[in-house]
Amino acid sequence: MTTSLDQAVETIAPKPSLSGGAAAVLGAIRSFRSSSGTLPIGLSLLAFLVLMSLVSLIWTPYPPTATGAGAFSSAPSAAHWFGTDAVGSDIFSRTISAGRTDVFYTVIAVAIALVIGSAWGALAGFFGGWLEAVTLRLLEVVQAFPSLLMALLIISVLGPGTLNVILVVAIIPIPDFVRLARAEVLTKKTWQFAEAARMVGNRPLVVLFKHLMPNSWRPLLAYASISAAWVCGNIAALGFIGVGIQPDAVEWGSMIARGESDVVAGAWWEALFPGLGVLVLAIGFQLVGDGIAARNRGEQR
Amino acid sequence: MTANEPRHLLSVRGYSGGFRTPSGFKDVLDDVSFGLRESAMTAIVGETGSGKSLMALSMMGLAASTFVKTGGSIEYAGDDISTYDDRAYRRIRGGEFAMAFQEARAALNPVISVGKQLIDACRAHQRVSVAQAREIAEEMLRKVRVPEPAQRMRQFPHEFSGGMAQRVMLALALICQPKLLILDEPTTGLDVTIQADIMELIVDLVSSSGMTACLITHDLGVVAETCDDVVVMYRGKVRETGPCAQILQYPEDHYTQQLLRSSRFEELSA
Repeated sequence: MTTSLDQAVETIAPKPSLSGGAAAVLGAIRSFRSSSGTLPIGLSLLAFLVLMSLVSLIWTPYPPTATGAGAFSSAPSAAHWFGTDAVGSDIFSRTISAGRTDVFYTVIAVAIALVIGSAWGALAGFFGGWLEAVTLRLLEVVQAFPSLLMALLIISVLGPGTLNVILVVAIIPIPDFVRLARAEVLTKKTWQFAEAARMVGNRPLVVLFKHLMPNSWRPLLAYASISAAWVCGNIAALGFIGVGIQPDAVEWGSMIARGESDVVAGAWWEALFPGLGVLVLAIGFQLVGDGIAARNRGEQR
Repeated sequence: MTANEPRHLLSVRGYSGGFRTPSGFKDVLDDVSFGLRESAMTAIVGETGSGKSLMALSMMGLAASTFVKTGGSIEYAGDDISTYDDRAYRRIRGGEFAMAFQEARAALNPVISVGKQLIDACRAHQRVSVAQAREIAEEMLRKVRVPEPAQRMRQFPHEFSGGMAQRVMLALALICQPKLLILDEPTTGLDVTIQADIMELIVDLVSSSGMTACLITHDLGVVAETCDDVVVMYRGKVRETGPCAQILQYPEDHYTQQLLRSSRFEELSA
């Protein structure tokens, strides 16, 4: 019975067979990701994007919102490095200006999630009781929804808009921070230095936030960076389906949406460059997160 | 014992309690009674699991939240402190009672410099500026004979040896000038020569300050050399209590006799 089932499974979904070369490359990527060497690369990618965003504040080749800066849907050239879109806006100017929006909102949203999630999880882990029980049940309910579906649900209640988008993409990763902070505090609250901190007469909240939490900031920071990769993806996704920051904002997701219909006509540059922006930002955050996590593991050994 | 009652800094009377566990209630302390004479050093001796550390934590109000008192009292300054909640206990902890833990290096926060930990502890109870607290902390480290205290203050616990960490732990316990110092196996896990240094330091500090001290230990040799009174505990009960000289020379209780024999103390004193 089991063999026939196995065979059936195999015929329906043949095992992915990798040639030796591809397996070696995957293995190399995996071992690279678990080394702290990813940290400088991730940091340089993020620094590059931040630099471009800052440059866009003082200089862009053309005004990013100007239509008719060049011919409609012209391919990349010396005058328009990334080409122009259907209304003749310069893609390069728009891409680096949009970076400002995406990078900034990602950082804000992750900071909100990190602070609220960590504090909540720390309190739940430290005091236990009904707070912990209610928290855990609530998290299970929230995490039962796929994150983008959850985002759409909340957006449809709150309505689109800058503040709402930031709130929504911040709310989604909060459960993960709550779980992580709770686990950190649970493993550390019985350590003797926590007891010693109580011994000298500190209030419970002081023991928690001044003595315990400083021992947990590194795993939380590593996770914050990894979750930032998802947050910037979510911001762009909401922008892409048109419920993002503002319908006409200079933002990578909405730029991709604008250029998407022209891709079939051969104007690949309209969607590619903002897409690369999201990709580089996400990879940058992911590599930084991997790097911090690898460094934490290294020091525990 | 009743004659000495007024001079007791702290009296434990008929103290009983146990742990709530998933498999039911488990009694651990059974009718424990003893007193801590003012300005004296009292030893609580017993084997692992005799309830001596739990008794110490109960005096500090730091017993685990699964511990439930089922009877008795801990009297201090005319109050039964075993009925205090955490808020009330904070007035006593640090300022009036302090405790040195078994594993000093685990009891110091790994990510906060030693100096900052001492300064924070000092400022938790005294209205002093950071600069004043720094001076007090440095003075305290000098008192517990940590060389080069100013440099050591900037270091982190992992840069301290076990013996040095225990000295810092003592400084942390003493910085608020407590009336009662509880020492939970302060020399366990240290080298023998360092054990002797630390015990000597403790005796010096306690006798020079007129503090009351309670030493939790299983080392009867140390008890004989340093303590005034002794409480012998076994399986959550007090088997014998009284002045050190009397109990160690003429033990009445069968368990105390066994304990003395097993620690070869008889041979040494004979």
